[in-house]
Amino acid sequence: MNTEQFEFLLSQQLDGTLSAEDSSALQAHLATAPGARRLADEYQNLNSLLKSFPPVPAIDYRALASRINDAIDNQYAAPPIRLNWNWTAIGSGLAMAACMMLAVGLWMRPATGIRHSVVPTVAAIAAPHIEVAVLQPEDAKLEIGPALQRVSVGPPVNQSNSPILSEAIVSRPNTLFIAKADQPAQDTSQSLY
Amino acid sequence: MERQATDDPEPTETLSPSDGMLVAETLGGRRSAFDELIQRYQRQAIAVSYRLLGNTHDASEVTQDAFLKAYSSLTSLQKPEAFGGWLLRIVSNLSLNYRRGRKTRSQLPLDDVLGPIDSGQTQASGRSEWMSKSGDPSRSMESREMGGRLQQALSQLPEKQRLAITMFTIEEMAQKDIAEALNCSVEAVKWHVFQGRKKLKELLKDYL
Repeated sequence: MNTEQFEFLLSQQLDGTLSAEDSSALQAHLATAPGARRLADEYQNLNSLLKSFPPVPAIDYRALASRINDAIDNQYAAPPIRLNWNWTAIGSGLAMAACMMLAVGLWMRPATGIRHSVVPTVAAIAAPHIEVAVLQPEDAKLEIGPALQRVSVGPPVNQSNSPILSEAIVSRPNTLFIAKADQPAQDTSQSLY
Repeated sequence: MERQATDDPEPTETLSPSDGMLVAETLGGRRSAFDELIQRYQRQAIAVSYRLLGNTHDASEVTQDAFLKAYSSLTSLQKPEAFGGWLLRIVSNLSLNYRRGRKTRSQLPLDDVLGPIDSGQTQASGRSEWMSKSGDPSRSMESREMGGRLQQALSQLPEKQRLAITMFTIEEMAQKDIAEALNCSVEAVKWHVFQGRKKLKELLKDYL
């Protein structure tokens, strides 16, 4: 047993947490190792010193509790409420929403012959930077600027009756996606411009 | 160590609801359940804060803040049964922050706040209450000096060792509560206590 191990056992013995087996080993070391007894006495003296710390001065705990309660009541009128989040349900909902958005994105992919400069994706629709433009009247002229540089209209003709997309007008900083069920999508970028 | 006498009765384990039950009841809207937690832990909170700050006024302020913080954060408590250790962690952190702020504001080291190490000269204010109030008036200058040395040595320990020694060896708190307060295992608490003792023995070798 080295000194570090011996001292650790001494510390645990002072704490009253030493196992019987370790206690036997400690006693054996104390009986045989030179200087072990002196070291043990030093730790014992230190422990006595620590235990002799005067107690916390008298405090009116009843008044303290009252003050704490008053502070809580003044600061928090209502008790804290634990929200019982059902993470399984939330996770399922989020997964379903992601699937739906992915499906929408795939569905809006351009068909052959239809020229779309940018295909809407989940990321595009879910992007935090959303701008919505309502074209009134439908032949409104759009100014090309920093936030609207190109306009594409979708979805393709054969997918234009989707109730989901019928009201969707979603833009990203550089691209506007427009889908209207009653207007089969054409490559209308020329007319818009 | 002589224990502090108190007015209100100690809760008996067989009759008192567990910490977890009281936390649940508080979250369920029974405000008085939190009052029971205050009654149960205010002494430990004061003791820890007092050992770190050196006077009961600051310790009371920090304890009040700690209970307020605990109340407002109760929904985030992952293990309601560990409320005691969790509260002591808040108390420790607030006390250490308070002490740092106090140092910054006053540019005084803790030892100045606690009082001079050589206690031959008595200051009217700014000295530790434990040296000036709690002892026998006939306490010898030698023992007061020893107390000052010990306080100074404790303040030189790393925070976890100081807290482990304070909570376990001086205040005799349960190791599992200390483990929760220090955010470590019970074995680590034993190790912190040991390392703290070892450093204290070196710092105080002339007095042992």
